[in-house]
Amino acid sequence: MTLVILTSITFAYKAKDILKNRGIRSRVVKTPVEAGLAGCSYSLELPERGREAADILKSSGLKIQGIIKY
Amino acid sequence: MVYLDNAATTFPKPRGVIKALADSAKIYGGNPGRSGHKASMKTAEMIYNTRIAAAKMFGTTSENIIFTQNCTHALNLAIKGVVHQSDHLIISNLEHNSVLRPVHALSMSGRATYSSAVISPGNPKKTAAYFERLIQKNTRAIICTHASNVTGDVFPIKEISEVAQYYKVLLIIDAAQTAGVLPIDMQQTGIDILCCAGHKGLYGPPGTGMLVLGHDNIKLSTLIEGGTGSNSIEFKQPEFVPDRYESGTLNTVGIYALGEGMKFVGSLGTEKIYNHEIGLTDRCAEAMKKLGNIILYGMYGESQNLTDSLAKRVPVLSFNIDGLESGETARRLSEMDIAVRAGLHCSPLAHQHLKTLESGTVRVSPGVFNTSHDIDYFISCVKKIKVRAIS
Repeated sequence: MTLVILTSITFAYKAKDILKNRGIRSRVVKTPVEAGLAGCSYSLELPERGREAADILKSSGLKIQGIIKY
Repeated sequence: MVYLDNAATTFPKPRGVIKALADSAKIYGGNPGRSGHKASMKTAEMIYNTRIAAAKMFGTTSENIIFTQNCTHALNLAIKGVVHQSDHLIISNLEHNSVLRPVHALSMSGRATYSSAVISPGNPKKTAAYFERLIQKNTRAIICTHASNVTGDVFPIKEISEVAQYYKVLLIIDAAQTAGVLPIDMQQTGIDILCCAGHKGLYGPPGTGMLVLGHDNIKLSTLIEGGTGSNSIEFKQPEFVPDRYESGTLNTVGIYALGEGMKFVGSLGTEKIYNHEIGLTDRCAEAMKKLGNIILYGMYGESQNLTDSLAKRVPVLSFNIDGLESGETARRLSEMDIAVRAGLHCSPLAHQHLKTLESGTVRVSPGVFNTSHDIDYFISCVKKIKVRAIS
């Protein structure tokens, strides 16, 4: 599972839409405390193609705060 | 009741909007963008989908939709958000108080100065040239209405935006009377910031509005700072949209219903809505002209041929019965179960232009649910009131 950490919930849903258009499934979740990033944010949980998804989101201009694999 | 005050707020609301208002507290009970549980996430997704719908309607991206309390709130955020010390602003001679008052307040406090352009109805080049003449080295923005809520004049936004773009000043548009009535594509027309009411032509509930950013290169000073559910550890307000401009809990009930209102508008299309409403307004104006002793103002007062340039006016008709004070006309119409608005319509500049600052006018503004029967009944009532006024 890959967690792509974004900033706001709006960007998390926008990211989900971008990936959905590229055939990549994801789920918007509140960034877990264990991610180590203090403060509130939202993330995309990806069961597969995590790295590919992160690359797609970076190239679409979305700010990614972190990527965690677990 | 025959409701002809849709320029103030639309009534009735579509069935989907009423249902949304009733259901939303049951369905969307969580606080969006705050927690991670199902209720919060479900509400957040609804909010996002409403942003998408608005972004599609106006030609921008979802994150550039900022939800506000109303159009006035959006205009205050836009105007006070762009201005720097000693900036110059340009407005028009028909602006509503929601533009005039914040601009005037900035002038009174010494933060900015302003000039007013005079619109030439039916002459886009002349109107744009007036705006251009007023541009100074320190002009920061042109702020103008898309259409007057008193005269019905539609402003030549494309021509004004060409002036704004040439001189690199921002263009802020008050779309209170046009969102949902006329098509608005911010990219095509070059609008930088669009301010809308949710509760007028978009058929949403009162307490909703939007500030819409046309691109990513606009950063406004904030009116309100507070909790955004993002970057909570930071003492300063987030830089990114929409969070920067949306502090505190959103009006989730209102936004859900606004989404249904936009869906309703989209299902009909602005062309159909406009043609219906302007058809009723034209019917009303033609009938009133035949009555005699009725003074029509604005586009209906000046225009000889109503079939000319349909796109140049919105469905708003201001009139007075000769010899009767506007408030008294509205009161007598209310006794006959007709709802109109009399007075200055929060637009003293427009009434200054019409020379009706003392008398005010009565304003008729049909909506999508009005019919020709409503107009015919209204005319019959005006006839009765007119007879009493003369005798």
